[in-house]
Parts: sequence; C-alpha cells; structure tokens
Amino acid sequence: MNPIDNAGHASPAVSDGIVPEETIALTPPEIDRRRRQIAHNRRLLSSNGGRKRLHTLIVEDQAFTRSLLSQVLSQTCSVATCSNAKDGWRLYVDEVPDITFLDIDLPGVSGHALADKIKEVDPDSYVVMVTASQDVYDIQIAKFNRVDGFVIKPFNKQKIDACIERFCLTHKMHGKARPLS
Amino acid sequence: MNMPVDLTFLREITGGDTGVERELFDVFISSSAENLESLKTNCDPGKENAWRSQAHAFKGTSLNLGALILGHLCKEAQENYQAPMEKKRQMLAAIESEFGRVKEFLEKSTSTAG
Repeated sequence: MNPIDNAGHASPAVSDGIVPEETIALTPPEIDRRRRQIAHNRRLLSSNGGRKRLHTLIVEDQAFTRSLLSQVLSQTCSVATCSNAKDGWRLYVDEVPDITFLDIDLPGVSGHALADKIKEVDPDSYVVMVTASQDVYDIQIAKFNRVDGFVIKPFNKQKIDACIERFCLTHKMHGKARPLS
Repeated sequence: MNMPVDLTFLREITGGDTGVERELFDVFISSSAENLESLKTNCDPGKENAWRSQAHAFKGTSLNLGALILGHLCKEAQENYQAPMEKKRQMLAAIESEFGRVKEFLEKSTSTAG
C-alpha cells in the first residue's frame, strides 16, 4: 500500500470544489478472490489458444485523449476504454488486459491508487501511466507502485509504439501487436 | 500570428484519414467546451484545487491535439491557481479567445477536407 496516502495525493479539503479522493478498498479475502478470478480468466484465455492480438485497457477521463490513445493502440491491439478508476478496476479483472494505460488525474479514485491496486492483486500486470504531469512526486509514486512505464503528454505514435515494443520484448510476445488482418 | 494548431503529430496517428480527424476534432471541441465551463465555475476563491485540476486536464488535451498556444495558456492557469480572481478572469478570457481560434481552425480544416 502506498505510504503517502491511499490515493497517491494529499487529500484536498471539501471546500475547494473537489470531492476528497476515494480508494478501491479490498479486504484480504476480496483480494484473494480477485487474484483467483484474474488467474482463472488468464487460464481461460490461454486454453482458448491465447489472444491473437495484444489487448489493452485505457483509463482516461478526458474524452479527446482517450479517443486519440485508442486511435493509436487500435492500429496494433484490441482496446477497451473507460473514464474512471472504478470502471477501470472492473474491466481489469474481467478482461485481464496485456497492457493498461492509466491517467493519473482521474475523478474520484486516482490513477496512482488504481495502479497500486492492480499491482497488489496482479503482480504480473503491465501498467503504464500517461500524464501531463512532470512532477517528481508523481514519478516517485509511480516508481513506488512498481509501474512499468511512464508516458508524458503530449504523446505521439512513437512514444506509444515504444511502450508496446518494450512490453513485447519483456514478455517475448513479438507478433502479437499487429494490425487486424 | 502563430497558427493555433500544429497537426503534425495528430496526422501521424490518423495517417491523414479525414473521417477520423473529423471525429477527433468533434470530441476535442465538445470536451474542451466542458473544460472551459468548468474553469469558469471554479474561478471563485476557495476552488483553487478544482481550477488547477481543470487547467491541468485542458492543458493535456490541448497539447495532444497540437494546440500549443492554448496548452501554454492552460499551463499558466494551472501554475497560477492561487492567483486573485481578477487575474484568473484575465487568464480565462485569454483561454476562451484562443479556444475560439482553435475551434475555427479545426472547423475550417474539416470543411476544406470535404
């Protein structure tokens, strides 16, 4: 768990116009259940011959950035998207994406908190933070959460392709990132 | 005066597909209008963090589109989140005016692309 706070940011006061950050709270039995569910979904995928293309998840609240990132990724991967961390968590457990792209500044539960939860429950996950923040604090939190990549906005096609390539290299999955035939 | 949008990076992504570009521009215009509205409602004292968060989000989308001047103005707004209301209103006016230029540029781009 994050030592700074559960969500990765100092909690703002209610009076400043922001609802205090939430967390994805799981009890130890729930964590075990999610772990088993993720492992089951992975086995199911693998018993069906595995995926033909990489599957990615984007959690980003800004519609334009979500569409743009989806546009880049859909050239070589299948893509699921959502705009908040709670939906992101549900989609992660159900779909077990190969790569998860997370914005940091999400409404409610932050991207840091979601990354922390994903890594806690599924250490084999591959998580990339995508953010306009170059704040040392955000980079430190991302490192502490053991995320696998950090992309600074504005991103271009090369930056995203480099993430996919790095994933393929470390997971020996060359050929899985490819256009639809 | 500088061009409001540099579409170089976006075109690497769209491959020059005008249909995809039109969709992306529409999403940008509608989501930016929401960002702008939210900045307006968070101009008052006591809403500094909400102002900063909105300016940060608007900066990210503007820079990703290639609207560099708009992105710069949003960055300035983000950094000066504790400025007095009068200064915030000035920053807001500059952002709104630049957003108008960006919007016009995007609408022209799609109409000329046919």
